[in-house]
Amino acid sequence: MPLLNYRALGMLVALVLICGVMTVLTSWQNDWGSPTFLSDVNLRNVLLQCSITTVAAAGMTLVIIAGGIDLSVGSVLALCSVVLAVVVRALPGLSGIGPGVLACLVAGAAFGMLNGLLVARTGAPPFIVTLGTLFVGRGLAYVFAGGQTIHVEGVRAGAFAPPVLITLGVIMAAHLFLSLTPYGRYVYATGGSEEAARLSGVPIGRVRVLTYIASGICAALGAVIYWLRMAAGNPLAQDGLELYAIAAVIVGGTSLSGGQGDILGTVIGALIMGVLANGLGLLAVPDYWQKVIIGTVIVAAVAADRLRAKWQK
Amino acid sequence: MRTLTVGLLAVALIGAGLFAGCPKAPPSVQPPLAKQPPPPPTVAPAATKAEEMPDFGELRPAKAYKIALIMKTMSNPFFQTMERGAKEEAGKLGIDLSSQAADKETDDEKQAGIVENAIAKKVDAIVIAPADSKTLIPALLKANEAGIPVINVDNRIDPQAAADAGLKLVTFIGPDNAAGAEKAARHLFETMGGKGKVAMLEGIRGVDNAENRKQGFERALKDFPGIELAETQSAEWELEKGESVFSTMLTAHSDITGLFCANDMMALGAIRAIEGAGKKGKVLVAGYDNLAAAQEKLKSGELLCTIEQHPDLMGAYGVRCAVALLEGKEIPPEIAVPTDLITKEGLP
Repeated sequence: MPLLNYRALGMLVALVLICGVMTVLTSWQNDWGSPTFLSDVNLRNVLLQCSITTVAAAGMTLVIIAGGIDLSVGSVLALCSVVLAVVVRALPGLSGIGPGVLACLVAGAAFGMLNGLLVARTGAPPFIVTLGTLFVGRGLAYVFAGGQTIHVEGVRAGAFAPPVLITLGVIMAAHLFLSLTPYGRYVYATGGSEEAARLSGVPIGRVRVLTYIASGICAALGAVIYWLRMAAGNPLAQDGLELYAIAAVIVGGTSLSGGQGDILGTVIGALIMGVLANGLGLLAVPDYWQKVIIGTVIVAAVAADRLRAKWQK
Repeated sequence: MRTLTVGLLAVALIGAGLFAGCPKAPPSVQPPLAKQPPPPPTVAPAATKAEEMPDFGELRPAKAYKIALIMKTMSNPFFQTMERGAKEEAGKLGIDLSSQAADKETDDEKQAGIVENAIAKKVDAIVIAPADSKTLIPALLKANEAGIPVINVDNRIDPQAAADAGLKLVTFIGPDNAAGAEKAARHLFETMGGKGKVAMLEGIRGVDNAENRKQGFERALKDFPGIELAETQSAEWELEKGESVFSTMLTAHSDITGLFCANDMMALGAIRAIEGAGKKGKVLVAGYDNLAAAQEKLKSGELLCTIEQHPDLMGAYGVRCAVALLEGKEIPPEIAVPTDLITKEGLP
């Protein structure tokens, strides 16, 4: 299997071009001085700022390739972040960090399993199931947090390395899983043609559940990153994350109808959106316009891809 | 080849968007060696007495300082007004102001990203209305480390948490909630003729502004011996709770003739309760916040008065303090923005 599909390759070119544009424009902004975009601090900011989206998008990629969708990731992240904060706060000093992170991951995996079982066992459309659990997860987060942000003392938050290392770890794990393991191949088979996959003995139900568990764990790791960045658990955190994650997956060349795509494409997709948001922020483009531009890029990416497919026929 | 069109398209769009929405480049004349901003002074966590807005004399900044105004969201009229005030002040002082906000009021992680971007841009000062009183602390610490002074407006960063984390803030510029509430309560008691039974609907207990507004109400109450307090309860800032809590109060004390609500939403709910109890015109209601919906009730006479908090002054003062600090002036650790009593007569 090639490292990158053709769509993702096109997106890589787009990413490089966008970085180039941001470099030139932020240099222009400084009277043609050194470009803010390329400064050490800023490149680190870009990686930090897209870490949560990237991690969630990695899980989302597995779900989408297997023919599903997970709208609950933002809510699961919020719920896990509250679980983490509650556990850390309940135990003395720093002793709560280990159990807190563990509880957070277990909560994410359990919620993902719930999504997966509901989809696999009831046959209800994943869109509807996870739309429902989106509300359930957010509601539970409020309940456990008592409606308030829980500040967690103890760890010096805001560091660069831990969030980025978690993100890299997730990317590697998801990529290796998809490209090297039998279950990785099953994920493609399930999303490609469910009937064919079933006939050739792929345990479709188990594969589905597995992808949702992976997505839940990714959301939980997102909650860990949120905690590392904000020193808090927050029931309001990352409302709308699912849309950014899906956008990163789609821009990265994974097909929403399942069966094809890859993690590296998703990483490029997440970086494109992260670089756009960061660069437009540096240039003080008003938030309204940032939305217009990012939305346009998503539509343009998918439209161009469809046109390409048409021309090739 | 065709995939390239995607990239080109994207870039063209970004370019178009940028030139449409981007402010002009900063003025090209800049002293080669910008004066280092003075280190931000330490603020004692203990609440000091807020000072009325100091004047700082005439400010003639040595250069067009870059100041970042970071707000919660632009979809709330409160912050639009804050931005307008800040922009006007920046225009007067010749300051390069960039204002930004997260798309959602609650998106603190996005706001932390905006703080990080401001640090990367090496702004001279940050003026922030934080989305959360604690979670922005790690991001603001990075500003401290980069030597960028931080001025806190509107929503106060928790002083204890800031002290624990070692975060230094130049000053807090916020509304004087107690004074505003006292003003509204006094007007209410005077209109009642200095006698009768009153009630109060409080905000969420334990929250800074809710407690301060209650204190202001109690201060006014002391000066009116003829006014009797029937009951005070929390309706948690909410419209529905305001309605339900006040209908219960009206059932228990049918002779209540005055009500002070710590925000307009609860006042609007209470007005519904009054109507439901068939007591329209018999209970005077005072609110707080000067919401558009409250202004309608002022016009119809169902609401007696409300309080304007002046977000425009918070924005303007944030910018002014930042410039004063960069020019080496002393900044008081806490500054109170005046509040205005709004009645039917004062409406346009």
